[in-house]
Amino acid sequence: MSGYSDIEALWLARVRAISGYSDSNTSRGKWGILNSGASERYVIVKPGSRDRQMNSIGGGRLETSQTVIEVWQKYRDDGDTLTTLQTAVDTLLDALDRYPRLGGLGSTIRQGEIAAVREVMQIPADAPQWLKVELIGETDEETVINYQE
Amino acid sequence: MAHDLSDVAGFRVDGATNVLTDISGDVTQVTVNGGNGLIEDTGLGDANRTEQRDIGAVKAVSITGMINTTTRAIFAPLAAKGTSVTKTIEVKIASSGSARYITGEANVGPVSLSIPIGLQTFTAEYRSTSGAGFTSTSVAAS
Repeated sequence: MSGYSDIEALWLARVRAISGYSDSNTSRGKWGILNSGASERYVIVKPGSRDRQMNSIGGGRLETSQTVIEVWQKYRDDGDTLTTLQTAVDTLLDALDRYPRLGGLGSTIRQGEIAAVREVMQIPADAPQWLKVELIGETDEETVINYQE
Repeated sequence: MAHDLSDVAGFRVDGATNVLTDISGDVTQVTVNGGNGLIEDTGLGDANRTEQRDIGAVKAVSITGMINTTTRAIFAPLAAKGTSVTKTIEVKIASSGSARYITGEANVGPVSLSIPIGLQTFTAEYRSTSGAGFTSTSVAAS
């Protein structure tokens, strides 16, 4: 286990382990699935920002990676769509919080958690077809650099 | 000339079974407290305070680091009840040069484990068993 790509795959795997999510309504950066008609709700993960700093003598490094977990809900009416999305977000949070190391088998992930939940966005804003919430996953990974000089 | 950073540094210490173990990747700070102890010898009639060198050297190495399976095995037993067994330590200061290591045999001083919300850490202090203190050398400990 090493590197951002593996971390993003772990986040997606954790989402797909939740009832109602599969490879038909989740993806890594493939927004085309929103047009598939496969689901009323989709989850798309994408890279966020990354911070890197030394964390021990002798080459230890801590890399904090953000993964943006977009939750898209098809906008149907002014009644239940928002509350349906809110319930879905709470379900995701409850399930993801139970795996503070993302279920990774390696030993390099110190912690993975949803650090923030962004506000609900209407897309487009004036005549919404979708509601979207971003969950900000934050993962701390430790590595040791093999210096060559 | 550029100054040295921690990437060239390292720390090894005897583990629970007295095998010298490299825990550099788990250590966040090493402090070598050396030099001379000083005692005041100001006498009556002196216009200024004066000091003289104390007997022997100051001889302590303290470290701070993070807990994982390796460091937990070393420091948790020491935090629980200490030890009468002396430990070999090696502080690596540079990758080359005649004074790149500080080594020696040490008694284990205070050891603490800290478990806050988040990262678990430890601190430990080693004091040289030699009256002359540790050795500054180009040779790694064995």
